[in-house]
Amino acid sequence: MLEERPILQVRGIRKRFGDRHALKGVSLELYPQEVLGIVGGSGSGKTTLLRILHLEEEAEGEYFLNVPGLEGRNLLALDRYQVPEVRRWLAMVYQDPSRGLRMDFASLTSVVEPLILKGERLYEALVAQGLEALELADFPLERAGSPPKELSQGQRQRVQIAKALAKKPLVILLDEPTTGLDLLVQATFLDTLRTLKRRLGLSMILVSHDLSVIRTVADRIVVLYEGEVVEEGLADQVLEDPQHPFTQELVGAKL
Amino acid sequence: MRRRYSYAYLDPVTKREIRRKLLKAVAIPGYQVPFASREMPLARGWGTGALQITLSLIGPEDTLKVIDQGADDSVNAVNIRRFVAQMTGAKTTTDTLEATVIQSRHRIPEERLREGQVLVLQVPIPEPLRYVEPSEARARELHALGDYSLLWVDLFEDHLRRGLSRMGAAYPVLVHGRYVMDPSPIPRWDIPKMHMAPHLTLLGAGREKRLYAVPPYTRVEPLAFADRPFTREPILGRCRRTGANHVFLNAIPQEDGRVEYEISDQGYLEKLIKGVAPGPLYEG
Amino acid sequence: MLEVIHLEKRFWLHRLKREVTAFSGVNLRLEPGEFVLLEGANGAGKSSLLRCLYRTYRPTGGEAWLTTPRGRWDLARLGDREILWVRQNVMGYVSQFLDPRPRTTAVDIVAEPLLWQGLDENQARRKAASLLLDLGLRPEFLNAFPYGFSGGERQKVNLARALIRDYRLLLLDEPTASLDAEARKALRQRLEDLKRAGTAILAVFHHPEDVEGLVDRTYPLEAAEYVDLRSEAGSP
Repeated sequence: MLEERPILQVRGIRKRFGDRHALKGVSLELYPQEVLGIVGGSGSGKTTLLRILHLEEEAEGEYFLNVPGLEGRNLLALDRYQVPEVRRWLAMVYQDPSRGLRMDFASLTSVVEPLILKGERLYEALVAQGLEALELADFPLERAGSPPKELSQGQRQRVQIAKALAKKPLVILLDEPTTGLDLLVQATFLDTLRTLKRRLGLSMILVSHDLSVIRTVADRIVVLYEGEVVEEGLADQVLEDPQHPFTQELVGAKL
Repeated sequence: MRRRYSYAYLDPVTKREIRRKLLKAVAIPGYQVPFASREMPLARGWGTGALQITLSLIGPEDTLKVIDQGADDSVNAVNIRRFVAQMTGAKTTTDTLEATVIQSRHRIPEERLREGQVLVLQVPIPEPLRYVEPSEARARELHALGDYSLLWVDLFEDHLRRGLSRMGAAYPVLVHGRYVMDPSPIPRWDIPKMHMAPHLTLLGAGREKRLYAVPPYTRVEPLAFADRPFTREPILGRCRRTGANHVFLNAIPQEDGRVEYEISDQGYLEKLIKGVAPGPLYEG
Repeated sequence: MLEVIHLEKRFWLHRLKREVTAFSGVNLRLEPGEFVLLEGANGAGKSSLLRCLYRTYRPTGGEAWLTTPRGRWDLARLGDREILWVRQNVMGYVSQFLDPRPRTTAVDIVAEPLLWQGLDENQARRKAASLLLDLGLRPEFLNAFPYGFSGGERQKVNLARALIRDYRLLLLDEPTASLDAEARKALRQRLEDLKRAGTAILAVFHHPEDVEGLVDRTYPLEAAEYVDLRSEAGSP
């Protein structure tokens, strides 16, 4: 068999909000240069899972990242002052761009913010790296100085992508990134993601309720239903040979 | 009048508390030390913090100078000077070189201060992160973590939009390589005077109840990108009374729309006019 | 190279509460360089068998041993990551359905398997272009998006993507549907070359005359049930 180590691994993730069990024991793995799609309806816990992966929520269970200095350490057991250190390996693209970007500042400023956090103190270097990231994200450079509040939704999401790329993270997490995008814009956006995946060998976890979004980018798919993983496998497998009744409904509904 | 008040107006307990806090502030350069700011016969926001510092330090052997934006004769400066003199019996002066304690609002004198002199600055808002992090608790965390990235992001945005930092006064500085502090609303012109200075600088915010300090010979470095160095204001005119343009000038708009300029440091201006040799100025 | 033992595929359709058998009891062997043609009526399970071997479908019984450079593995039980590796390096597959990739150019679609192999982008695109042109794709379509193509042109892209690498095992499901005569000839030529190089081929051809002379054996599939699986199982 292949000797491969996942770059990200979670085991037995459990999360409760009061009486409600949002996640009831979720385990999954992400391998290098792979896109994992997490699909589920509302109430499936998929967004909660992503927030936990980004260390925005506490949870029970284990969470490992295969990076130097963090091997074998359960990231869910860290205290809050250690979180920024872990976050530099992760980048999150939010469903709502205003959560990930400074809406009033120049787009370029949001993109370079992670670089500033990392300690870059040369202005020209920041500008150059920021523009490079925006270009990779297929963002029109002449609008780099415009604040996100003046951009279209598709452009805002590209700025988020650029910000994620600038960080050069281990894993990019995307939470319903195509929300609010019309079909054509969505298609070009997903195309950008695919191109980046091909060119840069990115590892990504993409959460969506929309199968057609997931199918264009994901290598493997995990299906969440009411807080549990009910199916997982290769993308074409899950889409064409769904086993679980929920998955079958989901796939059938798409047609 | 002295019989009705303790020496220097403050009771001994207060004086001791403030001195303890000052010692702590000097021990941790740039760190804002909270203190229980007392009621003063001066409205909050008019220098009560600096006044409490001055009153805690000054003795009958001291010589006090008080300036307000460089002027010894503004109402504020005059009142404070008279009050302290009455409460302590200290001598007063307008000569920077003669003073042992200089209380100042928004300016550092042009003549270089020596070892042994104490500069007490009035501070309205001590928290340099105030405008980028409104939460007081979070700001304290950021100071503890040494995380000033919010200021750097702000600075980046300024350079991107305007090609320069828009901050005119109160430019944030990194003290002793550890804490970023607000140097009080002194102009950028005065910032370099703090770096490795022989004198002691104490800063007091009475309304916000914080005091902090820069000990002598301490690094004070304005936050700036390595390739976009900090610059002072350009001097745009000449003093209307001396023709000088090598020190900070006040801009005085005239009724006809013109602007006239005059040296801001009144003590220094007077020396030039009287032909008295001033002390050495700060370099650069 | 490939040894299939009692392979079967059943679907359980929850909504309809039905079980459908696509095929069962399939036993066959394939040696390097052998070309085996699958025969049987429509709905007999030929496509499902190929899909099971490619692991788009999960077999519900039996084994399928594939000899790879890294060992002899049972495709029916192999882990997902290993299957991905096998698909990238050992086993190719062509059907009539284009991968849903709306905005990737024809050349890029075909070049991708070479990129996985480690070729640099320019080289990969050049080889891809050359193969596409061999199959008769018009040059102006090389850098266009296939979703706007006619059926025949799309099929050329599909084919090229599977043929661009020397896979050890090639699975073909009606690859000549909608192809013009010239493209069919080019395909035949290419298959002949691959055979000679040792590739094992398992295929379904609507028009067996397209591969006359290449076929070593045929394998007949009998329908367990005559069902149009596509509409029942809900897949495209």
